[in-house]
Amino acid sequence: MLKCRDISLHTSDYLEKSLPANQRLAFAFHLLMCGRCRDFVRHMEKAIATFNELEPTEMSRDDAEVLGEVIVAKASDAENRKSE
Amino acid sequence: MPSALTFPPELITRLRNQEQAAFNALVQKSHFRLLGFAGSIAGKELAEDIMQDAWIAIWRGLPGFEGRASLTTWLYTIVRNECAARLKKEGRMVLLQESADRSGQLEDWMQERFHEDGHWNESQPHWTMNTPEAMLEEQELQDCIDKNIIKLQKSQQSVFRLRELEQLPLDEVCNILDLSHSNVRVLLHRARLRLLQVIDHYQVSGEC
Repeated sequence: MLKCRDISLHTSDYLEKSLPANQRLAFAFHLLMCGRCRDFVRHMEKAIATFNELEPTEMSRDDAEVLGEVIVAKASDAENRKSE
Repeated sequence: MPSALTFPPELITRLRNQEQAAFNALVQKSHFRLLGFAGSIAGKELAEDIMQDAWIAIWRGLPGFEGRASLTTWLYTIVRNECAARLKKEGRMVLLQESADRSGQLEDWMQERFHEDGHWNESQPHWTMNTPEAMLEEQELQDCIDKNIIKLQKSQQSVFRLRELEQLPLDEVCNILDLSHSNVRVLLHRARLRLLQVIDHYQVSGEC
């Protein structure tokens, strides 16, 4: 019989569908009986959905141009040194 | 807007041709993400330096990029390899195999939240922002999550970045980090639990 603590430890596996069938069934059965665990799993699902949508921080276009050009110059310097 | 880096096919073609403007666009889009990833493996102090070498390797490798893996996976693999090379040079090891939560945060959380019999000792915290959309509207919460991603244990952070921010399949995360499936799953779950605590705290107190 799963305890709430077990549910909290295996929530990711449950949500990623990577639990073996018998454990998945036991997990789902526990959720049917336990409101606190249902809330926990729901919170985790919402948190993951939020992480998946976090906005990436982009570099400014000007800084990216400077860095991009420095990298290409360094790469070609190294190439030139190698061929000398 | 999904957090994962995406690259239109037209940009990838221009990158293969080593067009400077396309490369600049790639740098603009992905530098901070890759820098964060490098920091999660090698530490913040080495990450900037490693990224310089990684970008040179990326530039040189672009004409040979065959698209067998996604560009995102290819970029992260190069950064991971550069981190490993740099750490080796510094006489340090890539410590990604660990799965124990050395900070003990998870254990503390367990002790706080559960009775000895394994049941919750109280209801889940009440969330005032009850949807991902509502949470994403709260800039302070986003900043708080970002701040706490950086505080995650390195190995948890690497996995979290690849799986949650880039949404790469678990198999690709395992390949990039050279970790087993079970290790990645443990690290990912610990990272999620830690950040769920951060969200819980923010939801209840309005503070990071």
